Amino acid sequence: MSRALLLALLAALLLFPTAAGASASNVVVSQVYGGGGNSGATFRNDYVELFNAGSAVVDLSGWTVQYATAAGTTWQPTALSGTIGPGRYYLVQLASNADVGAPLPPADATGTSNLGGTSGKIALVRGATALTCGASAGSCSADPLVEDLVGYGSASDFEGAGSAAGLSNTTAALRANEGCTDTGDNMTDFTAGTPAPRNSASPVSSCGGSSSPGPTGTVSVALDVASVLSVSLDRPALSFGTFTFGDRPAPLPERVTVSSNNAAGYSLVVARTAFAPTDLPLALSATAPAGGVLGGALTGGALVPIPISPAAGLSVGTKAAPSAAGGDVWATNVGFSSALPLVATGHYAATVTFTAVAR
Amino acid sequence: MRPALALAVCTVLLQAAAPSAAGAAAARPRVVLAVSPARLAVAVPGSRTIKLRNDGAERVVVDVSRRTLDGQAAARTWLRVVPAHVLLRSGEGAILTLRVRSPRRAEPGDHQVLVQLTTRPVRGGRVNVQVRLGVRIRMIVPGRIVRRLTLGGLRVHRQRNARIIVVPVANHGNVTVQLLSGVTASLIRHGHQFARLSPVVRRPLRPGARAVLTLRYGGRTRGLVTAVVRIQLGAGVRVVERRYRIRL
Repeated sequence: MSRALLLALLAALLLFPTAAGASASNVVVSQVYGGGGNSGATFRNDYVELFNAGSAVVDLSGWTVQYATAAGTTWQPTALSGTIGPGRYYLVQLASNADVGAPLPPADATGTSNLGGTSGKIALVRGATALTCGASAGSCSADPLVEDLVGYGSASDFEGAGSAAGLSNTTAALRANEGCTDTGDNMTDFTAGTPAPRNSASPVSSCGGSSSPGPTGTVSVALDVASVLSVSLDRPALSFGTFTFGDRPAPLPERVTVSSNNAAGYSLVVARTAFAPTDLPLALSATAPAGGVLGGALTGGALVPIPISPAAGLSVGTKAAPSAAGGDVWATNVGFSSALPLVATGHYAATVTFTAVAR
Repeated sequence: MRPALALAVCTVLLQAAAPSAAGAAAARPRVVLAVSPARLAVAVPGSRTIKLRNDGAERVVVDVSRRTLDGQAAARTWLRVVPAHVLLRSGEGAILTLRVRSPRRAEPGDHQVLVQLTTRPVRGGRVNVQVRLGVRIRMIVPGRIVRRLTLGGLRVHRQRNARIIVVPVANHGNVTVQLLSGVTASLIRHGHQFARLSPVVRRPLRPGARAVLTLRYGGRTRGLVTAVVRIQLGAGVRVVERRYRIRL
């Protein structure tokens, strides 16, 4: 591993630790089944099973289980009520396609959402308002009201590095260790297996673990890495020297390095203040790093005038993915788009601002 | 040792030490500003923190400002960030606290604000260069979103070579709607659509507000026709449609 990558990881781990785990209340989604009533289905209805992995009773009044299609951002809430005790399960019965399969155990809440049989997204939300997130990975986890999120199959949003496995009419997404495992990564926390719905009357499942026969033990280590965005310059000031009317100073290089771990990428824009007392035609050219898309006006490689704030800035470029480990270097040149006009003698200064925003 | 010789020796020693110090400084860029998280959501009212760090070789002063992203300027005023300015020496970090107050008569749903963290430029060059990081803040105002528009009675104003069709629209919902390209009017005669008009609507329609849609028909068809005005506010939102019998 390169030194730069190690430093970046250390920075992410040590300098920007996240505040919270995946579920503040310890109530999680422990099973998802979307094949209810389909051909050859094991059960007649779709269902979502919740599990309280904590040690306190949690009041679910006002909470909802919400469903969105694999790529969708339109969510269908199903209201919950009552409480869920420590180590207890809670069964939410959802839609049925036909009278195929065994009936579910008595449900603790019912809804009409018709879950995708192979792919979709389920969110446990501390509120009744339908979510609007989910277009990209991590977007729903950023919502503080989202208690837990499960993306399965080809879901566009999920917790962690990837979605849970795709399901079928005879398999459900099962959270490991009877619902106790919650590392914040759907891909590793869930496996596809035989559906086995449990409700509030099912036996208690303790997450405390059993006593070890010998002097050994295991420690589960989990962490979340927060989004980070940084931008750097190698030259905070550019001096073109002394010139006169009709001269065109040679462009000066300015390397702008952007580091971002945001899956949706980032955008980079440049703007400036005006030279005083008379403005001069300051301009910029740039080349994009690997995977970056240069702003439309800059694609020809020519020097393009830099807009004066508060006008909208000039798009240097965008990237629709995280940056390279050591950051993306946008190699720019700051110069003048035309020869200097006839202006009064004196010291002319302006400020150029490079703005990076996570997408 | 003579004074002149001693001075010369000191000068050589200093010059020998300088490159190593300069080399260390050159190992990292002069200006590096990092922020985490790069985007966040906060329920209203509520507060969150963001972490700021100067990984550059020089100390910087960072100014905090706010800008709305969805055109609702008032949303910017709900958000307060403290401190508004922060001095960071090389390697130093700071925590900024974002507090969102509960605004009166706020529309339910999401409101987007960009928190801008801008380094102050280092003076001295002809062109000073500064960096700015934008942190997207999604403020979530609780409540049920109601989108309800009604179309009023249509009127036709006759000009020499054109007909100006005027339709009032009222927003009876509780959120601002952007009509923009979502409004169309079809003119139909004998079951055949002979014109499709789109009004220019630039301003958003706030809850309780009314506006007038103005459509210009420059065609030659005259007489009794059917006009169908449709407003589509986006995917998943019910289409508002009204049919009129008008004389061009």
